[in-house]
Amino acid sequence: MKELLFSTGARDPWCPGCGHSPVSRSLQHALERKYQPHEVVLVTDIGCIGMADALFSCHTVHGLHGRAPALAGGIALSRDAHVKKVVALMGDGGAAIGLQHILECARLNVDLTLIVANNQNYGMTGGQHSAYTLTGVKTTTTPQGSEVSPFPLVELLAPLGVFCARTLATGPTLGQILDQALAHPGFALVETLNWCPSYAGKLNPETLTPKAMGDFFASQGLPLGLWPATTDKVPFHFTARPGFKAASAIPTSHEHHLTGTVRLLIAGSAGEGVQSAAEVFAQAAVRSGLEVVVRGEYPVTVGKGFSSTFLLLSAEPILSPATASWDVGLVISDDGLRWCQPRLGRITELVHDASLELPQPPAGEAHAVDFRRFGAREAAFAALVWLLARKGWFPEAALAEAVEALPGAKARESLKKVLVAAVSAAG
Amino acid sequence: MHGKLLVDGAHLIARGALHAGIDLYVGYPITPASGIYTEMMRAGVGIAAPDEITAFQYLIGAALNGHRVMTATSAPGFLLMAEGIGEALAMEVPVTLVLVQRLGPATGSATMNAQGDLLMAANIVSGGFTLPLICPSSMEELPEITVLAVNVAEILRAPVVLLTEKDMVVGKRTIDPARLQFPEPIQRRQYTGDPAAFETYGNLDDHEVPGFRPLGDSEVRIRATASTHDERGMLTAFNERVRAATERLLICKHLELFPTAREDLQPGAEELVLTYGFTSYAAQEAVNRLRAEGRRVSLVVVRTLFPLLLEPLRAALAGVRRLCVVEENLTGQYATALLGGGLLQGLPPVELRRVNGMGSPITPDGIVAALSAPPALPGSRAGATPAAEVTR
Repeated sequence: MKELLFSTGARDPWCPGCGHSPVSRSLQHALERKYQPHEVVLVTDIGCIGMADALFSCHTVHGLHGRAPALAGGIALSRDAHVKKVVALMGDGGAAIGLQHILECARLNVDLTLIVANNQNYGMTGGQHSAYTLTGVKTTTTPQGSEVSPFPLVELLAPLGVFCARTLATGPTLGQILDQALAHPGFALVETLNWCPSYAGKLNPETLTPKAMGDFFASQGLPLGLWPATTDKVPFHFTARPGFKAASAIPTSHEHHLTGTVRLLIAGSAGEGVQSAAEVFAQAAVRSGLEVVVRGEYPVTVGKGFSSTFLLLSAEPILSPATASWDVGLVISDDGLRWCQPRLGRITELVHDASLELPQPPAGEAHAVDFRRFGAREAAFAALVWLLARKGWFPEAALAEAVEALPGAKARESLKKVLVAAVSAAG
Repeated sequence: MHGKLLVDGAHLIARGALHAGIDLYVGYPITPASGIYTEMMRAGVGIAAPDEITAFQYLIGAALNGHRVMTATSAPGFLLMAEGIGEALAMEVPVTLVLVQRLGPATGSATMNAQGDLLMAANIVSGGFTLPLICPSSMEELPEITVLAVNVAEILRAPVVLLTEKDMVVGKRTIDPARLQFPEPIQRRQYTGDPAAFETYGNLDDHEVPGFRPLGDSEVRIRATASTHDERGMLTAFNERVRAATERLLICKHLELFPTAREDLQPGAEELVLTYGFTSYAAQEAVNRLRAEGRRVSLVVVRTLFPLLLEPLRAALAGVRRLCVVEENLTGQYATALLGGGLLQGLPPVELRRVNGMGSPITPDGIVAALSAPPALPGSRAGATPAAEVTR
């Protein structure tokens, strides 16, 4: 017999009569009708069918249990033109553990042909039932017959618009279906109904034979057939769109007047611009030649509750930013006050919005200022401006520059107004 | 006067990765690593996976096609990737994985810093194959160490963990752009020999990393496998060839590519502070303070955690009578690894102090206190940060 182009000539490893043999042979024939071996990558799963790689003369990748569709998907979606087709082979056990991967490949319509050789059990580990075992089928772990329904793999995927087929492992139909699946430029699933001569086939001599299997599957709503692709979605393929913009340096345009360090805590409400006010302030500090650490803290639901920032300004290089106390605390809102409460005793100078009632007398110096009259979204920035005007750590002109450098015109104009008003409020 | 950057670590890692030639990043969101994912998507080299298991399969597939690949995650995602990491090691596929540590166990506290994943990450592969763990110790080192990690992965054809932590990646700091370093990217070695003699896992006899050819190569046939194999990539009965192909997976080659420890040694120092990662900032500050008090203290910041590169550390220990290992985890994982690896073997007696903690950062005060206290009672933990909250 003439050796096939896609065959290594190795003897197949499966039990006599196993459905995996005709599936693998049909695949070799179908590939030969369309490709050269170097143009094809075969990805094999774990399980009996996963031993097929030794038989194939194309590129082969043998991975982990259930992951073949994801691994093959990764190869298919990132391949260059040298790889013309990626094919993955897995059993029904692998198709259960890897169902998410199959669905994802179908969702993305990755250009990949996936063959699921469904022999109704885990042959390699002793014939246990799988998530695709039909109701009533006896296996070593369902001696009375499986009581639950199988995953209808084709019926799960067909609504996604991808090519699907269910066919017997033996007979002429498989070759025709494989031709169509391989020719399809997108995701194609071929479920083959395989006879397991050692376990499931032996235990179910009436239903799981090469002859009876088609009708048996059909009787449980899983008919043989071909579901042509209906999606017009272009197969997903990774294309790099390089466009990285490295952050640009903030020019040092001013001189600061700080000696040592300042630890500043700003606490307000989510959605009121605390983080962006702190960022502008930090940028102004950098413009003035200060070293800065900025750390925001807020709940995972970023639109609700407190929003706080720790700002460390230093005339010297900063090493550890860790601190248990703060020189100044700016508390803008109720949410901020609640969050700050356990920390109030460790804040040297507290500046809070005039609307807030402190739960306890402040540990040190305290100032109540009506920041919220500048608007809820502007209050945090107004407080920082007010503080800067009092402390003079760096010039207000640096802050004006940082505001001017903001990308959004609306935020820019609004903060410019606040800057002027808050400076004058600071007296 | 030139300007400064005000950036977070995610941005700096992305800069390093892109300089290193990473051309495909697979992401899945997870705190505190999501910033890197966002940066790489914005850079136009990223794709999304529906979960971390899938992410790692995509990475392996893309690396087999010849891409330089990366992902970033934290412990919960890392554990989902675990089987893929072992697969990449067995298949000899280069993948750079940034592990941004947060507080464990399990989902723990997503936004709290920790250095508790060291031994988990190093030993995630079954069979006792320690992964390379490379660890930046300052934000300005992030681009440099990222490039070096990618180089190690590519040359060794192995998964490499860039081990960092929340405080290094989230939150901004002023960085002098002139101090950022971008080493030359190194390409993985291609197979240039006779195509007829190609073996996917060749070079067994000289224990070298095999030459690479991508899937789809028209001259050779790739046989990649995660199962135990011989040089041809074929599953076969265990024999001496298979033993050699398996032993080769132990990472002990090309050590010159790994980042060296950052040493700040003082002549005649009897005390040595040893640390890694973000904790290095606190350690440096503590050492500076102790020196200002007239103490002679040396500092070593380890930047390749695994494989254990003991010789430079043993050299730094010459004359040292007290070793203080500083790390933000409960049990002093790296100190344990160093001792088990034989760091102190054959040296004159050295008093070991561990400064550990969890849930609040290790502070310079804590380290100074640990080095100033009388010798600790056996079993006590000197210098742990008090329970009071400390802002990072």
